[in-house]
Amino acid sequence: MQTLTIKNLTAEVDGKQILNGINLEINTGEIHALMGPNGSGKSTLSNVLAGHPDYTVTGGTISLNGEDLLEMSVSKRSLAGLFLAFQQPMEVPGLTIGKYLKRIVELRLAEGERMNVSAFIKDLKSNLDTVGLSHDFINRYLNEGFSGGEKKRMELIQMMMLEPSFAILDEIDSGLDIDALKTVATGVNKLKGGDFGALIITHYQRIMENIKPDFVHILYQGRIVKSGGRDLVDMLEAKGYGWVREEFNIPEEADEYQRTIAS
Amino acid sequence: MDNTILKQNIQEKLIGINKVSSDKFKKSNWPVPMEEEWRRTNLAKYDMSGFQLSQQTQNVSSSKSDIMDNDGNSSLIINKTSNTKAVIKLNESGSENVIIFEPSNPIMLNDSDTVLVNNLAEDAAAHFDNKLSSLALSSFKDSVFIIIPDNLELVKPLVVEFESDSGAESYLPNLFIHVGINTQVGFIQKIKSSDGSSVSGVLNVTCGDNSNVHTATVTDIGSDSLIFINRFFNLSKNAFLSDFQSATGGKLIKTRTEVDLSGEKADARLYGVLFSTDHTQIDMRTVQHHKAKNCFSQATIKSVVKDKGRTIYQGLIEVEEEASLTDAYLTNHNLVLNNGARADSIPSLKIRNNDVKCSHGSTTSKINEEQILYLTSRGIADEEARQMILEGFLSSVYDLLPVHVKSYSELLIMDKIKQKEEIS
Ligand SMILES: Nc1ncnc2c1ncn2[C@@H]1O[C@H](COP(=O)(O)OP(=O)(O)OP(=O)(O)O)[C@@H](O)[C@H]1O
Ligand SMILES: [Mg+2]
Repeated sequence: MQTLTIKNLTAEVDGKQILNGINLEINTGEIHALMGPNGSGKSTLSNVLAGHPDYTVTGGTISLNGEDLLEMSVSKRSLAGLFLAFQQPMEVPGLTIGKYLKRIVELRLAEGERMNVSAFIKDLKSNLDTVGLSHDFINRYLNEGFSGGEKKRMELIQMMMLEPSFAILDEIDSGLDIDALKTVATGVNKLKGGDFGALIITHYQRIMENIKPDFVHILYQGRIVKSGGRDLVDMLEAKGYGWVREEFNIPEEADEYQRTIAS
Repeated sequence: MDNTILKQNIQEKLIGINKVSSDKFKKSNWPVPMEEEWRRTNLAKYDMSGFQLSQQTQNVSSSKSDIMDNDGNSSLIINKTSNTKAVIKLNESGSENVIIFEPSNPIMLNDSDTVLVNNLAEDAAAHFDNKLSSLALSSFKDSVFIIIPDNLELVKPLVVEFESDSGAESYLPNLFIHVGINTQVGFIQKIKSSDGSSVSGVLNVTCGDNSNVHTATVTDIGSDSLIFINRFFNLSKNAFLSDFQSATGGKLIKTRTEVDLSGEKADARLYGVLFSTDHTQIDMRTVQHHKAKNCFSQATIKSVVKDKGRTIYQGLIEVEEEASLTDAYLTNHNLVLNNGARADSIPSLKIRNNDVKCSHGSTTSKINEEQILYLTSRGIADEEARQMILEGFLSSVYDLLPVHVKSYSELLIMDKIKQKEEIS
């Protein structure tokens, strides 16, 4: 079993504190869902995990199997088994998907191990089939001119090809049609098991119907204010985030303040 | 046919052209920044002392050099090292019908080929007009003339390798090509020179009716070298031209490429890749000159600048009054890798006919750090991610090239980029 541990994490961007002490532990074999209103810091958390240079960690620790993740470069975190699906994947004109995926798979080979190219292509084609993208995508440029949904599917393909220990999926379900939602679930469920853990950031309950998370957390103003099982999702659907504010006695002004920061 | 040429020895005719050009060279001054084309490349800042008329007579030593490229991917390889006889290697049947004429080592030409060789040299002398092209035409010791007979179709490209072996004299790698009617042919002109060399060459290509011509000029010049290339293409009716040039290395590379679309329905596509690093200045000018109806032309130039590198691209679309239904486009994209590097675009249009479609556009961008984050977050090291973005930026031009040109020049420029990455 592997473990990703976040302790008392605080982080800021542009001099504004966004994360106010996050505590979270994810083990392989577990699926966690992270929900929370716009601007509560969900993407900030995933960016901090990825090592985005614009985000400064001001306190706390993140460790991957006991190793200090914050000491690792962005690429090293990835090679160590962390995968982040971006809320807004970047376009890289001129870089074909085939060439790119081959390279990132190759980077994970053990020293001296040679790439089995035909197995790679077979894998890639079957993964394209799983997410419902045509094989023509192999020769397209990475994310260039992709529709929103195609970009999300491309993130999934990468996750399936890399088989990370931990995946953080930032709103992988937004902008997807219902069929695509099911394919996301298929992708995640394909990896689900003893060697894989995930943090699924979402606004929608629908994705939970297909990917059944073991834990649900609610992020509010940079803090995880409540954790529980799947029933939390139903509570949110029924009552909205106002309920969270009332339950945790968070003053209205603080909320306003956050909104001002957000705008 | 012009009988006076036939009566005279072609050698004498060519020497006559050399003499006229030498005189022009002596009488003229270096181009100055007052001239629009030279505004951003001030020759007063460069040591032009290497650009001198040759003292040498046209004696030729007959030493041969080995052909480097033995891969069989070309139909014909001509290796022209200065002062030696060209080494010629055939790789495709049909290519034995190509006429190759070296003034430094002449063969007997039949009457019509004599006229063609003469015309190629005379046209160049009449067309090119500055001190550097006069120098290039002052001697044909490094020149190669190629005649592609009518109706010849070659699948693989002809490779013409020019290589100077000393930096002492100016190196004048001229290439003259006559392409007959109903032909299909590709050329790769490679120009190699040692460190500190002074190079000035012309390329003059006439493309006959219904010809389908691919050309590429790839320069690989030593550090501290100065190189000037004047290129001119004339397209007859229905001729198709795809031309590519890549420029990297040296201290200064200045090229001018003009295409005259003289016959109806001619079609010209110009592609260029510039990569400038250190203190290299690369100044490229293209002219799409529409002289006949119903022609298409397009120039697509990409440049990458790094360190203190600088590129200048000047693109002109010129449409004559009689050239109605012209379709002409010009785009230039620049990628600036760091502060201190600079890329300038100066597109312009001169249109004398109303019934045309013309446009130009240029963009200059930096590597987006979010792209770097994206790639590194998948395990790619930072330097490699930058490399991939850069290759991707250029590949949208490379992907438009014929395979043989792509593979050769992409390798060359990518090698250069990689070398630079390793050094820096
Ligand atoms: N690069 C940045 N510069 C300035 N402010 C930022 C930056 N990144 C995030 N923020 C701010 O941090 C706060 C948290 O943003 P974040 O993107 O983490 O929210 P989120 O929970 O992912 O919201 P959403 O549900 O809308 O995706 C917001 O107020 C946002 O404006
Ligand atoms: Mg977000």
